[in-house]
Amino acid sequence: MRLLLVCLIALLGIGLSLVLGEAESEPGVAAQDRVARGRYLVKSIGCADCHSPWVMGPNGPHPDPDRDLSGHPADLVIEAPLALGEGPWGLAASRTMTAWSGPWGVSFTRNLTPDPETGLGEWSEDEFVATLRNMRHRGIGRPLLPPMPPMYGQNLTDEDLKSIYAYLRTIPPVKNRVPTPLPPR
Amino acid sequence: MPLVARNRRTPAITLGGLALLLAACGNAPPPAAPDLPARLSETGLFEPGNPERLAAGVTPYAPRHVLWSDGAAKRRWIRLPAGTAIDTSDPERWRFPVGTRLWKEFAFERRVETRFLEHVAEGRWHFATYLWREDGKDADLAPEAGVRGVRESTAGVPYDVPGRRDCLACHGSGLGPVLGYSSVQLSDTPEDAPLARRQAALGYLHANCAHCHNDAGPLRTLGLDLRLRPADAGAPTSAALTTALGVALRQGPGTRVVPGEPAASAVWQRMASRLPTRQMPPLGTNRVHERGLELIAEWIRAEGRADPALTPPTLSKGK
Repeated sequence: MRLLLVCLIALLGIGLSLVLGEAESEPGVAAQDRVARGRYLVKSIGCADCHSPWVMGPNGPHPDPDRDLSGHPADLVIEAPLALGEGPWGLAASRTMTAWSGPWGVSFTRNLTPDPETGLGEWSEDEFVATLRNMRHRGIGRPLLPPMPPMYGQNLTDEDLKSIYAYLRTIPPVKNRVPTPLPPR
Repeated sequence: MPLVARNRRTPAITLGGLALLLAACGNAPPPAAPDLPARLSETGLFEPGNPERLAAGVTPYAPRHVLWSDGAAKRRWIRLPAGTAIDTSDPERWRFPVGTRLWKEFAFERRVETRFLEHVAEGRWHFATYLWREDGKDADLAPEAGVRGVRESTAGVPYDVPGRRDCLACHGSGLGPVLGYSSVQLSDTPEDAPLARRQAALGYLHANCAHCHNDAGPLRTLGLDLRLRPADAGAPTSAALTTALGVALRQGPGTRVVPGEPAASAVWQRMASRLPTRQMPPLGTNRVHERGLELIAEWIRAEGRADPALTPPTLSKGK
């Protein structure tokens, strides 16, 4: 009888440890999944189209892999919006695709790498999600500017946005201080 | 034709520019609407059928430092559930009983909107705003995304009713949901005149900036804390002084406040702008507050003079 009791307790202990062990490992697995999904989303919705500086290669222009998602290069100094004048044209982009000039002035794409001083290093997940949801800087500040599309914040789920944030924490940090927007002429 | 009025400091934004900007800034649909009353008359502000007569238990109040709202005439009320009281044991963060309701009315010649806060469960607040009908008999729940240009605050300058997300930008960023009813906002003015002047400037920054620029909310990493605390009384240790005077901007060249030089101070520059990318506050206003700007300019000039009168008497004793 005593032996049976010991065996039962031992089995219960093993069962409990399995259950608890599984529960503890879940967040780790989920984090990996989240980073993978974030990578998939970032690559699919085209964040690098504007947030990585483009360079000319043998097959034409492409985002510079060495400066992936590091925003408008600080050494490409732009001091005023382009004067477009009369006619059908409404906006213009730099050759890097990282500076955009239009009636709102000039917008520069943000450094999305985890660099603590010039990137998203000190941004919290909540701030990142709020920025896309509210289309405001850090979720509560000035409006985000064209050509940043509002549909990501309108249509992606919280889990999607958190996945993008999780992936952006894993890319190499690039020190690049993007200038503040320029006012219209 | 400019959609936003030109003033002497900010260039106008053309219709096309603003349309593009707004197209890009279209807010995402806010979270599912809580169960909010459809009409202001259902919130318990006034007696049924008589918006001119407050309901029993509703008390008017006025904060000492006022948020600029493009010149709107504002009235405010609070109602606590019967038999309850505010927990003021922490003077920096009063705790309001569940069931607390607050209202704030905005008027330009006639009532335009009344905003409503309700503490519905411990730590959970509802935010809503109600648009007054032309006949002034009642007000209806505003759309969740707000209403742009519901009226003009002055000729050519639209007055916007904020959406629910914009409510949270200020009321959910560190100082707690209730901003105008606090120990600082209900305290007396210092008797010492120079101190009162500094306190007025710091109070202005508290009321207009500190709901985001504080040491508790998402922008705490900037290290700019414009919150006025009950014990400050204009002392040189006020966070607004230690984190603004002579402190460089985190991004780009410039200094938050250059003592003696308002026009060189980023705080003044941002207040003087109504360009959407530069203006401060970033929402809730489309017009520069000229008197507020002058108040801050006068304070910045006084800080540059190192006016001994600005040193609180309690600190100068024994010199």
